[in-house]
Amino acid sequence: MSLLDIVTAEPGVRWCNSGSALLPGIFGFRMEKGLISGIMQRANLEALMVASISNGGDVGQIFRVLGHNRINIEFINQIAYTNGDASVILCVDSKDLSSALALLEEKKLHIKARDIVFLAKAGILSVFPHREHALVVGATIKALSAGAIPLIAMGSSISAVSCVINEEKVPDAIRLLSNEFGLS
Amino acid sequence: MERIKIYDILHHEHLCQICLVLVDHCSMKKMFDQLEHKAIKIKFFAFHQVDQNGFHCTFCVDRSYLKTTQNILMNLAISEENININDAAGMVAIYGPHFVERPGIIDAMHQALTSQGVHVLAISTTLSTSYFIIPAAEVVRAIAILKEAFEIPQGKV
Repeated sequence: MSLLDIVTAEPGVRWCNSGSALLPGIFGFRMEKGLISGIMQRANLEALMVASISNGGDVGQIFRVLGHNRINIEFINQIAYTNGDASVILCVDSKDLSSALALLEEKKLHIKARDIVFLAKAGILSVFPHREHALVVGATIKALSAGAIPLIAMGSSISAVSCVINEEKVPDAIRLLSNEFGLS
Repeated sequence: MERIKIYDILHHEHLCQICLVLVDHCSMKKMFDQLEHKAIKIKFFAFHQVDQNGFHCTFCVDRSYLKTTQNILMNLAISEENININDAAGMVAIYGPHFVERPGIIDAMHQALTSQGVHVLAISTTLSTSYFIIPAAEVVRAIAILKEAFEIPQGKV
């Protein structure tokens, strides 16, 4: 490992050193002139999909019912289809899974969704910073595809590209991403 | 009711939104490689697998790069019926310190915008940021709505 960068860890977030096991705390990152500086990991999550929301459905009911019941949503993707329908993928903490499913099932008619689907026990890996580089997105997809790791969802934020994957694949995914971005 | 504190509101009024249906990751990887080659920045990205037959991908680039992006998509031989382009997209985003542990932030943002008639085209919310893609013509109004809905440090936006 070369220079250490001092970063502030967000509560509950574990930062992964390149190629290491999942260890608590803050780690340093290889601060060479690489495309990214590090990989963050969120664990103990569950991925759900609210599928085929009809045009005119109330997507806001998803966020409202979970927010009112104090269920934090740690990842959200909403994508609209060409026919005007939409789907939402979201991740909640494992402790909230059964409550989230029950609450969303109750609201399915209001949301006008075809299905509320549990997808997987999930982890989120975030590579950062992406600096809006298309290459970071492409390289992330390439690394995970090369390891035959299914991508449940991906999304961008102000500084990171985040991937939702099956939790049991997280150690392999960290290794693959570290190799791809030259962190290991 | 106490307003949620955020660091800032991000915004962009000059985007185009590209929505794709793809059958594998390869074409997506090639597309992003070519976008990088043309130095086209990705302003927003959201992707998920819908079923075993397909993936849905939505991304935004600056509107000035629309033609170049369309050429890239043509070169990848993605069928026209699997491409939907909105050439008048905009983006508003909030980011702040509490996203990881505080419920209700996305509800507050969504409710604030949609209750005022702002149409949400796509959402990507991750560790610390919530991005909404909306019609470009709504961006200025959306910023004003979010400034009312959230507590922002003075001097921001």
